[in-house]
Amino acid sequence: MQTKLLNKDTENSFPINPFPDVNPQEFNKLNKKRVTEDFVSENFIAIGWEVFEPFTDTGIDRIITKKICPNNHTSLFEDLKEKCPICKSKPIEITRYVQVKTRALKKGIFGFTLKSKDIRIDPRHVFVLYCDTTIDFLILPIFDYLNFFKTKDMNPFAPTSFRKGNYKLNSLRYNFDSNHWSWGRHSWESYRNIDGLKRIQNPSIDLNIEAETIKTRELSNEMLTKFSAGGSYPRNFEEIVNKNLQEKLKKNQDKKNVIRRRESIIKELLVNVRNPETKESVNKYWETIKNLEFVGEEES
Amino acid sequence: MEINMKSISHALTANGVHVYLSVKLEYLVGNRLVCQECQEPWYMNLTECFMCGSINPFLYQCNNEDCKQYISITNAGKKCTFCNMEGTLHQECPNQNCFTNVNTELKVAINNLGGTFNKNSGFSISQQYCLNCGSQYHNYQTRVIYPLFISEETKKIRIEEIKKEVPLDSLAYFVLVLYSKNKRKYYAMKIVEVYQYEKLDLSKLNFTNEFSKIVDQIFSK
Repeated sequence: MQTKLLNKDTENSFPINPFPDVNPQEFNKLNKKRVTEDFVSENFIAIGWEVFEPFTDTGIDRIITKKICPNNHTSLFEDLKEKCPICKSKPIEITRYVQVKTRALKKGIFGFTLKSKDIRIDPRHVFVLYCDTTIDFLILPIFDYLNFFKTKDMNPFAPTSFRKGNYKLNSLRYNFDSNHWSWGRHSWESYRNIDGLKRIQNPSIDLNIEAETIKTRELSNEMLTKFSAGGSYPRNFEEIVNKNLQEKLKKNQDKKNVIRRRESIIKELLVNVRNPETKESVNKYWETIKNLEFVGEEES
Repeated sequence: MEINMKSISHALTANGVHVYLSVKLEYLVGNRLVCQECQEPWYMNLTECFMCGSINPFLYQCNNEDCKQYISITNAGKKCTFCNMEGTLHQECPNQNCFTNVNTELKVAINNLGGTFNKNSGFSISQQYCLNCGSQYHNYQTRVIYPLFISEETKKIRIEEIKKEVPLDSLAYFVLVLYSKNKRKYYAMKIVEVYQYEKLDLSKLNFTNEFSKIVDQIFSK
């Protein structure tokens, strides 16, 4: 049964260590997977969220739901069972799809990798970066994650290594002296623990899901449809590639163009591929890819 | 986890549904990532060309101008099996009008890293456009699923007996699993509809042998 763990000592603290018999720092990289997942789950349960765990590993580590006031009057530490005592509104259920990254600090750095497959457009998609050295959650809805980089004029999505899936981000740091999280010289304190919780307990995301999805897609396109040559390609490619990427976005605004073009390419391909076994292998790969959605990745 | 719940969980997984478990274990949460406009499943492991959006065909194309044949990436060695040339196989974008093919300088640079759909080139990206309708918008589609296991001898169910602490959520479903020896039949009903009745007469329900039809019903828009 999901039970709340808050008591007088821990009330309004988030996160807390829910396991009085062991500290998070007693685990190492090889044996901490289960405890860190439980740590995250129990902390959300303690403040009124229902938490659902995957039956098989997938890209989403937890689904969490909570009943709150549609006008955002509900405390971060409670759920709403009856009408809101402030505005008398009936509760709505909000849902968040959580991707958890757990890391111990290495020389103050929380290093992690996000790939293009992790950048989902559903505005309810949330990253929880759990640092088990400092017992902190850095909580970012997908829009806020993308927007941080836009507003600070940074773009970790343009390099080819982002699309290769091996772009390790090493700019997220914790300063032990000042007890402060930052990305480069930009503070990340507004995503930390309770401040991060406020971002995900925002009912307007669920009440305006279609509009929020469109907003997230526009921002994602702005950030992800960019090319930076880095060390892999000559610099002079950047301008022409980026120009063509913008043209692609414009052309593909008409959805029918996307489908028509894809269909004509597949048609042409099937004419040009001589070997029937080769044609069959294409279909087999597409089926395999669809089934890969059900295989979780080990965190590296 | 009880074996019948496990069986339903595996059946949902086989039908493209990601299953999540409530701590209470009396119900399941089924989840899919789908196109917001047409509900076609969205596959974040599927890649498309970063420049034009063409889907990864999982083929090498031989660069030899006299050959240009396609070979499955499974079977390919270092030599083209058609013209026997070495070093000519690349995972190119199948769209001949794609900028990655039209700009010869870029094409050479990309092919030096294996081709557009080789992970090392950085010119493929996870699915950005719906496979069915071309939309760019996707959402998670989530359903609460309460499996109810009923023996074939049961004729009627009193709703009071099955009423759970269930939110009257329009997206929550009972899945009735009628079993006898080795046969199973299924019927799905929205919980908000079930609670309108005092009794369910099972003989009046149109059960199906095909679990996939239940999944389609539950996850329809």
